[in-house]
Amino acid sequence: MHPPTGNERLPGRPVSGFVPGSAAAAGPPPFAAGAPLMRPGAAAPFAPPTQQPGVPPPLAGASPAAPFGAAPPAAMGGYRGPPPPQGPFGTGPPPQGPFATASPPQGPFATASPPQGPFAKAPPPQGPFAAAPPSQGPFAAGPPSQGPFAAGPPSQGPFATAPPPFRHPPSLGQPQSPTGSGMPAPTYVRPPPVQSQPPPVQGYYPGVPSSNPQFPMSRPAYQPPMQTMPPPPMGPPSSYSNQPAYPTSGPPMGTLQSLVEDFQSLSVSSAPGSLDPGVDVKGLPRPLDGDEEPAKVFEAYPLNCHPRYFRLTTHTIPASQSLVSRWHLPLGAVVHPLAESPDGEEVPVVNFGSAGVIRCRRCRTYINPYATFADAGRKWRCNLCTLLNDVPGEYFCALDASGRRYDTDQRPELSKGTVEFVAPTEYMVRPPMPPSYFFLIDVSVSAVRSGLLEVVAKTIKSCLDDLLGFPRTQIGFLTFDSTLHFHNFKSSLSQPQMMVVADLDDVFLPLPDDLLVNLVDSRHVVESFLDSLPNMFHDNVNVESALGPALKAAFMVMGQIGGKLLVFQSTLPSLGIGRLRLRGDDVRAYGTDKEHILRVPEDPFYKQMAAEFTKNQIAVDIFSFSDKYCDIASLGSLAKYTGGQVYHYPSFQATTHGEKLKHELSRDLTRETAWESVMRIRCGKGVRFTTYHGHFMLRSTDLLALPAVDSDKAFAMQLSLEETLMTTQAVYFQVALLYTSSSGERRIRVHTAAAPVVTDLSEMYRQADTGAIVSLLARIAVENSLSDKLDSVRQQLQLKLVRSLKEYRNLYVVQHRIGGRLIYPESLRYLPLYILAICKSLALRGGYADVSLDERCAAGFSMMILPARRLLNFIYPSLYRLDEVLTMEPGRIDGSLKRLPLTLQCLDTAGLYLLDDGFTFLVWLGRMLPPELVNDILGVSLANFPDLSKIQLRECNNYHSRNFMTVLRTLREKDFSCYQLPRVVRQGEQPREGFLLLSNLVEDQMAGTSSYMDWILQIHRQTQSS
Amino acid sequence: MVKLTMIARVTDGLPLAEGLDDGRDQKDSDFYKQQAKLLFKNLSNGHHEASRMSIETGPYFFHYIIEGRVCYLTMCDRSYPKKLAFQYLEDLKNEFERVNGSQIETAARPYAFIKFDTFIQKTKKLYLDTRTQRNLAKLNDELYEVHQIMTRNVKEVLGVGEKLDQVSEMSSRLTSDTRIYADKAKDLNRQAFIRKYAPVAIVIGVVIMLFWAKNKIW
Repeated sequence: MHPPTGNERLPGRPVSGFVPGSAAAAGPPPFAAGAPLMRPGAAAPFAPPTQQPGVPPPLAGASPAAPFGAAPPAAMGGYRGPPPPQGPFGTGPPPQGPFATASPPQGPFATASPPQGPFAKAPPPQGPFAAAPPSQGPFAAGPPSQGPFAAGPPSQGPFATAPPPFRHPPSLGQPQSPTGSGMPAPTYVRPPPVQSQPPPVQGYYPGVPSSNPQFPMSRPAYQPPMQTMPPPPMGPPSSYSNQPAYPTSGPPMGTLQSLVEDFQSLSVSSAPGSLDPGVDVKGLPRPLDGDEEPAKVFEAYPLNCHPRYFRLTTHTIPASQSLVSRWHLPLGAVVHPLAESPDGEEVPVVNFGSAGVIRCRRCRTYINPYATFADAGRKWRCNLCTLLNDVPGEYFCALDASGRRYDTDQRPELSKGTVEFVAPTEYMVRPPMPPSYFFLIDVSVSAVRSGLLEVVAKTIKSCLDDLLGFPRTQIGFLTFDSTLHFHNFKSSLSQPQMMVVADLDDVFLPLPDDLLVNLVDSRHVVESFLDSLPNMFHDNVNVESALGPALKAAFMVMGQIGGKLLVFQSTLPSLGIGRLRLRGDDVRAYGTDKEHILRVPEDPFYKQMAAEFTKNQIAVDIFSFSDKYCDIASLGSLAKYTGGQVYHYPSFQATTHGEKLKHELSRDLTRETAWESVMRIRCGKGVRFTTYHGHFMLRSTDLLALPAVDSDKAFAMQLSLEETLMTTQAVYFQVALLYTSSSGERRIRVHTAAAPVVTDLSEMYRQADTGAIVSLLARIAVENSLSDKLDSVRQQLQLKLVRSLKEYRNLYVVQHRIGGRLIYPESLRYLPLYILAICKSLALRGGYADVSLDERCAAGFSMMILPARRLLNFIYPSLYRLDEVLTMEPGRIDGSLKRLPLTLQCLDTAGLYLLDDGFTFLVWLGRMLPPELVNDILGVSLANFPDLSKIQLRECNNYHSRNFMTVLRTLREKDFSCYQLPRVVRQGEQPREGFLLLSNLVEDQMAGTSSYMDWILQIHRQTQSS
Repeated sequence: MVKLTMIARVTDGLPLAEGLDDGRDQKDSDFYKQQAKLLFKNLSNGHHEASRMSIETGPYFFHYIIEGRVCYLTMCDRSYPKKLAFQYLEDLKNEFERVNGSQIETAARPYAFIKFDTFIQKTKKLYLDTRTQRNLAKLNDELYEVHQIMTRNVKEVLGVGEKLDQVSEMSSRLTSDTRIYADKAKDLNRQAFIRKYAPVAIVIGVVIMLFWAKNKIW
């Protein structure tokens, strides 16, 4: 429990809790509780007292709690008639986090909760407080002993000093009368089992007022004195209830939303001259629960596809251009067409047979749940372009009275947002291709020395059984150093034959076929090749690498079929076409206009090659292992334009990185993949997708060519408004991915979603989806970094954030007179932190010295394909404290892992921490950690093992180590797409601690970057200045 | 040498399997594939054809056999022995029927048996070289006779379909034209009738009017 910081100021409304949970007990909980508060019934938040400035930390003693507990029931008892305990809570979400963490006072409250319910709902209390805005009724009702308060000292200072009113409580039963002059007396029957009423005033007292500033409102008497309290940000409730303008389709959240707080605010004003910046660091919002999928949207639009497939940055479409220009954040979508369902749910498959796939004649939209039928079922109206189409005879079905087809529930394409259609012959330019894998392996000296060949050969061999597309799978290998080595896998051979081609200028194939062979037929040859591969080049001392010619050769081998090309590159390509030079160590370029050139491909060869590859349905995955500069920027463009992926293992050593490579290579080879695919996203009239971000090749203006795509890749796109949407109620989106599955079926996966058109900016903010916004912003930023300085990229990000918050502020500031606060919509409460995290991410942080150019580019390529959830975890990694967990029983471990804020203050020198960014695990050993624990986990004594960078974590035969490995396994199981390599670092071990851990603590101040608090202050200042 | 192999269902022309493309040396394979697809379409339209046939097209020959409502088609060089080509198709047919025989009628999607392409690939390799012992033996095998198999030109074959289409189109046009003619004739008839009797009717009308007027006035 952190004692609340002295000058925490309460947000205008109780709602504005920022940090559910994290900030721990005393201080913030009220905030946290705030949110529930707004909902009828959730009165409990009252419990945790928050401090008023100047008031000593809360009582927190047990004694205060008791009276408190006792008191409320009394007061409430007065109001309430029947005690339907939870009933009233029904509408409101049950209080969550805050309560759990809340301090002692809550206990009593909890017991008191039944009475509270009625309160929340009961209008009577409001009567008495005529002055109080109705919405506050519940609060007013809350604190039982308020009566005395009212009479009591006006301001906070007085609170502390003037306990008398408090003392009244003993007579709680009656004391109500002062305040409760207007309260319904009759019900006032039940005095609580009041125990002693010590004067725990302060603790108790501060709690109440602070927890809801409205307090004063309900008691006009209070108001004047409470100067430090900002006036409640709420206007008359009426203004709120009007706002959820969901003018369009069913406003399922409307009613709920109208009761809920519209915005949150953060007090950042400080007394002039004080050193304290006036922000409670612990109270700042932190996304410790990870990504929040907009589940509400899915509930509201059950016919939409699940948000894991398609997320809009705000689930509304602005009706006019002027609204778009006031939105400032990007308007667009994140599409993850092959996302894996967590519960293994299958996408329904539909075969239209002879009727053909039902599509709109004009806009080619596929039939979907939003299509309407007319003319007794003989016609259907396309929901995107409103064209009336004929229903083919085979597909006809009569309509019921409401115009719904009788067979709607039997047909997934009419009842589900996500379906797959079996594609007829018209959708094939050739028969479905067999999945094929071609490996291009660098065997120059560095690859041999690092043990790379061995790991690769073993991994591929172990995956042979699981390669996709049995029995059609094709496989082939080409190794290269300064020459190209082709390998003949003819099934009648017992050993593979190697053929060396030394002519790099005019590459030719030494054999017409048998370079890419059917795996089933040539299995034994392939296996014997993989067995001998590490030895074959064991004594190779060649340092050259002819990647360019090797790529050309690979293209000639697989051009006819297509498939996946996996390139294992361990040095800078140095021979033949596509030769690259060392340019990454050019310090002088940083900070100048030429800086970005380092991040774009140097040689146009790679982009041209990528275009050829895409045309022939070849996807390139780059595995790069160099310990020196190897120009990922150039190599990566091969993956970028072919729908591939870049894996970077700096300073690869088989002993340490082997596991990671093994896992990720097998994942790459065995995950379900969609081959020779194209994707198009259609949308209704008036809007248009303009720019696309991700790894693909754009064919025509809106067709994404994806030679291979799998569940680890997401795409983002930006939307623009073409005309004013006056009459449209909703805009529909349809993502269609036409692909060949590994089993050789041609399928069309279709995701359909609808979003309402709104004319109100505040509604756009309410429906904003932080995960999607951050994804899109990060991708735009990475792309901008290819044409601009890092510094200006970061500034652009900040500018977007400031503009959007300023716009939001303008919506409310006048209305609610919230002078010194930073206000932001509830939906975007994490946005400032995430944007700060993007600025500090591997791809965009600092300058030359902070990240090596290759790592920066590799991170940039990763960020371009990561789905929203993984991206958020990458930029704001999870930090866990493990030393306590390790002593628990293994079964309870998963539940007891709690994410911590990413700041040095959370690190206890006697603790063991784990940082998980989805790519690596970083184990941080505190200085005061018991050496036995360290020895248990590492398996060696620290004193004997000075170089922690070489250490490997293995399961040792002791309790701690087993538990530790269980934790790692649990975390890895949450996401199979990447294998987090554990790295160990000791507190104070420089420089490793610096670049491994400290640079990831995004909330802290690092060289030249601001801490979270400074950032908030900065943003706040900028939103205020006009 | 075998260039192209396709297997399709005769009843609706649905492609069932196809040999893996390695037409590296072949620039115009798309054109010939298109022709093959047209052939399938013709077959599915019910133009009855012999169950074994060779069709010449450009520098190549299509050979096909139809068995059990499945058409096995291959395209070879002109110089490739017909006998071998048909033996190749027989091999495919036997294996295909053995593996997929029961599901042919129920296949609902195109290329439902694409997995068969590995077998096609393997068999094709056996037939690549005409001078291997195995193939020479097959060539000399007197039991398998291919002489009576008809050879036609692709234009002719595809043309038959076109011509038939034309004829049916013309006949249907004829019906509609006759109907129009009949309508027109009726119309003309009516006009002639009017032209013939209108003057008389008018005169009589005038007379009656005069009579009526006279009666009224006087």
